Amino acid sequence: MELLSVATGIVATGTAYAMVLYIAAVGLSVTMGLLGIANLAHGAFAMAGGYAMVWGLDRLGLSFGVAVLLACVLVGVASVVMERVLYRRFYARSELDQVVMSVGLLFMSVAVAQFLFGPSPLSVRLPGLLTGSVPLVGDASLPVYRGFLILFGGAIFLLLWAGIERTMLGARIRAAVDNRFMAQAVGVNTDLLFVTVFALGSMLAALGGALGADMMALTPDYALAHLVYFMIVVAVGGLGSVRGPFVAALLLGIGDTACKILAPQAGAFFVYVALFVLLLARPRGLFGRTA
Amino acid sequence: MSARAAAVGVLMRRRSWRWVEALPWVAAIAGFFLLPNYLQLGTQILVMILFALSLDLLLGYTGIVTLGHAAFFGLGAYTAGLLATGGWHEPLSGLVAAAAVAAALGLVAGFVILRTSGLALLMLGMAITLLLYEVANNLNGLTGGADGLSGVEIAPLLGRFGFDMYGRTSYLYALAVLFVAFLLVRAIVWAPFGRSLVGIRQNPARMQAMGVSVFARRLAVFVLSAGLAGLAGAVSAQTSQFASLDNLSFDLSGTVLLMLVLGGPGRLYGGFIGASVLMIAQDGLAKENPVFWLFWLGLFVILLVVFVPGGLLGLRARLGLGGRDG
Amino acid sequence: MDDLVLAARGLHRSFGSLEVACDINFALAAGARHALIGPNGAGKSTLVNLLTGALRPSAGSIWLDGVDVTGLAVHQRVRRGLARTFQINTLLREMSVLEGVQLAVLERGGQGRALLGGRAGQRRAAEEGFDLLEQLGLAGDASAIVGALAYGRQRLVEVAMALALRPRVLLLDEPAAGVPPADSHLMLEVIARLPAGIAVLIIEHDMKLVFRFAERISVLVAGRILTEGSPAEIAADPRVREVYLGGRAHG
Repeated sequence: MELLSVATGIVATGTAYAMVLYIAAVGLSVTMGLLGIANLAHGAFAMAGGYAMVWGLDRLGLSFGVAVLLACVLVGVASVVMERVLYRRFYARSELDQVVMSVGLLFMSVAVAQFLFGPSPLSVRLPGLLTGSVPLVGDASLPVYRGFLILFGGAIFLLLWAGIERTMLGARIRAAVDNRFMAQAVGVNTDLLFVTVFALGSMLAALGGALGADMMALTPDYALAHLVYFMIVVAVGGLGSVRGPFVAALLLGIGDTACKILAPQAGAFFVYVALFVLLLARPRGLFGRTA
Repeated sequence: MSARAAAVGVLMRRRSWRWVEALPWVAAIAGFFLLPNYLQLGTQILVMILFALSLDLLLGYTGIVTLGHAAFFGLGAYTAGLLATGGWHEPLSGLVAAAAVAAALGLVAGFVILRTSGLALLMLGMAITLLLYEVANNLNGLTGGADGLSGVEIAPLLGRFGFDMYGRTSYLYALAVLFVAFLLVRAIVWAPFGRSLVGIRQNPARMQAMGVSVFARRLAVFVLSAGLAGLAGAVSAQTSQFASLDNLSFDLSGTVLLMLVLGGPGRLYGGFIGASVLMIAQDGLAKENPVFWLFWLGLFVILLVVFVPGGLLGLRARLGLGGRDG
Repeated sequence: MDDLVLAARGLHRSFGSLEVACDINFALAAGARHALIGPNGAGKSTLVNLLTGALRPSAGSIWLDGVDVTGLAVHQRVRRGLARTFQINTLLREMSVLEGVQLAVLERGGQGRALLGGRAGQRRAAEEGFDLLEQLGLAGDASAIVGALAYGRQRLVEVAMALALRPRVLLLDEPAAGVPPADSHLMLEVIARLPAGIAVLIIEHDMKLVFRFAERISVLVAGRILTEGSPAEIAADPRVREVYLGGRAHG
């Protein structure tokens, strides 16, 4: 019984964590796959979403839903500006230049966040509807908010999947991921497509950062602290994919939670070891296309 | 002179020493005598130059972009530190041991990391650093955990020159290690092996079509680079008599990358310029407000990559004052 | 059979249900001048990749100098004497022409692994490389940066780098592709003067080039060898005319 409730707790918490990771990171997969840009500063957009939401809740007195929406819109607008001013200069640049630029952005994001919001983690006031918990098996119970995250993350996944597989925008994205020049040749406005995709990816990150602020603490070094996990989700899941990162996020979220509950001293040690073993066997990730 | 002798001469002369290459060493020795109050900072700069030099082999010459080089620096630092706290105080053998341990990790990690590319490669580099971080953090009793490893006592160098509180021995020690390592790296990059690395950076498929096992070459340089990074970490631990989790941080990997890029990768001297400029600037600016420093550092490198690709030494080349070495 | 330097025996390759190479057989003796032609999509690139080792065959084997090399990697086949040029220039663009060829000479001798020193070897390799460039009419470009050369010249550098390996077999993958007509005679001359002992397999669209140069021609259609024969036989074959020379001739 004890074992079952521990396992249930791990799976429930891990899945909720996985959904946050997925929402925050999936945009990176699509922007990297489509735009070919190693945007290591992706997490900064997630952090901005988190801070914007807390600002909306605490300073503007907005309701939870409105604050989340506001965060996505603000980050979306900011990302369009960033794409026009900075990122599009780097589409044709070397990987090194992209990495250096985004490391610069990461460092700046730490400074700006600390300047605006101070060094301590900010806490999120959840709406009454989403507080409390429901009992599961044995001693295990599931906080309502985590249940909400699981449902919401699942919905986002289905929405993205359908959106990429079924809609015209999705068809254009898939065409451009496969062959940018061909897509251009058949008349896809790649310029507009790129900025749209970049903004969508950033808004997803903001959504993840805002909704996940309860699980992934809002501190100035957020974008650095969670960078590796975002990258794992994308690298293990496969570039330009919607489904791969979902599976990768689930594996990582549940695996990491299990590690931290069962062997708290070892931290994420086993996660990293498992990662090396996995990539030794499959250097292109779980769903990576072979060349 | 025949056209053949002329063309071959042009190629061969690039290996030869130029007078301007004496400049950094003259400056380093002059600094020792003229700025006795800054020897501690000077030692840290020398350590970072050595670290950037190790990264240059990997990034500048071979074209492998990594954000995980702190793993090898940190492992070298902890190896040298733990040897000393464990009772082995002789510095030179400590250096060799640290470099060997870091190179061994380079072999194992490189075997996995170099099979991947792009984002996965970047991610694995960071993951190996975090893995070591977890280990160092959790082996509290051995490493001091988050407090760092203190009490690193180093015996007098060659049994004669003690590591004094003014940092004179430390500075000259770091300078000597850097010089020897530099001679080694310089010889390597101009030898056939080093030239083949440049070929791999420019076009791996062409090198493969010449019969080169690109993976084996890249793994070899990864091991070398890891060993040199471990050497830099060891010098850091021995001269500061301290090793800490900062030696295994993303910040360190990122900073050394920015230093190299600022100076200009693939030119041997990029790290000399980048490390000196950034560390002197940091010493002046970051004392007041370290967060502010991160902001300006980030903004500065972004402007640099937008407007001055190729770093400061690249600027020199673009102004027609000298070509790229690699 | 012993004097065959390159042979393909019953090569098959499929991607899923798509068969891109099917029962491909051919053999080159020392000094052969063999051409492989075929319309777009016939599987020429697949065959090149199978021969060089970039792709593994689903069935069949590849022999170099009487040794089965089917399981060997790309670089190992090169070391056994199989050199190639690429359809799209694959060069060391930031190096001088001479340095690129020098590297190839050094790698041929296994000196590329030398961590230190190697100065004398580098000088000898550069001298040998210069002589080779001279033979190809590239001596004047020896100190030029490869990326700064005209495309047609870069195609010749491709050949120079392959020849620097002193191969037993040379695979020329569309050597005239992308070369402006005014410069195409340079490539023809170079191909005509290739060392007699090397077996040459040329994969080409340009009919003029193929018929001028080849002693034997294999025609590849839809992943299969349709026929093989002398240039006169191929030119007279009605099936070849139908699938290739007919409506959609390239040359």
